[in-house]
Amino acid sequence: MDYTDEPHGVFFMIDNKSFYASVESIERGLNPLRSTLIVMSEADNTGSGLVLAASPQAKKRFGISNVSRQYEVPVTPELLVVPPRMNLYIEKNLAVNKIFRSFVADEDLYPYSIDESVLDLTRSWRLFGATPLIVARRIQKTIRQQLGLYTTVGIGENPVQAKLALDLFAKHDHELLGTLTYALMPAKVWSITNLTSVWSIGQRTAAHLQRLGIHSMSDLARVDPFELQQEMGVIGAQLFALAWGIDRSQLHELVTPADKSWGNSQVLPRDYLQQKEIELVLREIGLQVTTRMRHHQQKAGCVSLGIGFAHVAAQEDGRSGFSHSLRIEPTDSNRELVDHLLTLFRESWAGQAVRHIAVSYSRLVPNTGLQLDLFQDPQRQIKDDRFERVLDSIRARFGTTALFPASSLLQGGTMLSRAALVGGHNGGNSFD
Amino acid sequence: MIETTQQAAKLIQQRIQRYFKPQTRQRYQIDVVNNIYGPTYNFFLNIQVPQQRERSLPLHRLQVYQLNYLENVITLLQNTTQLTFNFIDFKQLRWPDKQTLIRLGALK
Repeated sequence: MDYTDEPHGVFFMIDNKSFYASVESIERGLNPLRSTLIVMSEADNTGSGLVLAASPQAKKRFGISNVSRQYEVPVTPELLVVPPRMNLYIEKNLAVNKIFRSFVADEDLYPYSIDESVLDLTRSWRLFGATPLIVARRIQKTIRQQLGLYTTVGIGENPVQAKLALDLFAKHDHELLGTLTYALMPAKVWSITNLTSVWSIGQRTAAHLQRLGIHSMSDLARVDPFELQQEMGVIGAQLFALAWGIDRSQLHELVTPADKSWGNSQVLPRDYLQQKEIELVLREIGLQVTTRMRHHQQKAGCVSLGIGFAHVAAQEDGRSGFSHSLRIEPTDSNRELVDHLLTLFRESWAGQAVRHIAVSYSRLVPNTGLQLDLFQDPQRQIKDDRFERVLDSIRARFGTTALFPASSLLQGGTMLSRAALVGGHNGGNSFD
Repeated sequence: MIETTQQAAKLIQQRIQRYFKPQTRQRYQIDVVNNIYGPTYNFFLNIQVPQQRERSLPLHRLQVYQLNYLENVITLLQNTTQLTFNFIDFKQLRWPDKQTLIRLGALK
């Protein structure tokens, strides 16, 4: 493979080791690498409790993984259980990224998730050390000194190599560092046979590759890329590039999605069987998504509804749920959008127990004004529109629970209990 | 707005009341952590049931990082709760008023 024309930069992918558990350890004066602490969410829809994060020692000594269930966690006084504080983690993530900005320009920093960021140090690494490895150690040290957190750094010549170096090597390295280059790909990556351990390859993709006779990264690198693309579409070409460590993305050129959408989904706290209860949650989610979309002065031309059945219902039905979309005249009226959602639901639902609801609005168009309908009273339409806007402004000023439909107080409503959550989990005390 | 010691103590007291449901054979204590990375003083209510997992519930983070401020808050809290205070990471620091070592225990 000729890599001459490929980008040769210095990219760091930096991850905070067991981020939530580390933040909670530091808040309690414990060393994040030595504490045996787990962050457990006990929100309504997590059943008895869900482990959001476990400290490295808790993972090692008790075999706890993130997303373990409460009943899978050993009962021992040696384990410290703490509730999540999502707002605090967001605050710490901002502090970490602020430190990164002292090493790279703003446009060379790309926060990837709540605990991972990509840094393009191609232009700035020489300012901070003789080699990229020394710079990486310096960043680790700065973050440890200022925030107490341990960070893991993957170094590569492009973002994907940095991510692979992080996941495959740095996380298991004593110094929490890992390096990958084009030249090192065959020696370090191709021997991997557990394909799901490689970033972007999930269970289904791995199974698909297995069916094609691809059982290792080496097989993937040697396949005919055109045949793979024919079989798997654009993902095929992407996987082939992954095996060779090729990534041509330019972080500073932000990708704007072709079709943006607004959506929300939630796992219900129990199985919902009654139509009126399911429809109540549907209305609540519809309202929440509409409010967000209207805040951005947009109208939706398509509504989509996804329903996931409860475990037993899914086994009886043979399907895990259903999802349908409906093209509509662009609108931002909450009443109309919710009516469409209810129609979609009633058309396909046949009494199965429901555990998961997802709503999204797409084919967005800018809201340029109210389009009057010839067949309805114009005064009524203008009044309705004005009414919804007043509701929006009150909610924007005083919060989403300032005004809500009385139906949310009925049994089955989830909106009020979810209003204080951040990312579906406890945000922490309001006055911290 | 800077929180007064009274406001801080009241908030912590309210949260203790919310979480503290006394039961036999359970140990309750308030951890006060000197978090040099905040810098903040963090309060937690720790609950230990024998042979069960220990639980630690956040009560408050004092943003005013001054020992005499903390001393005032602790004095106010000791008027309303009999729970044991456990001071963590205060090393050789002393209470500004009493001049006793902080890590040895509460003011009284």
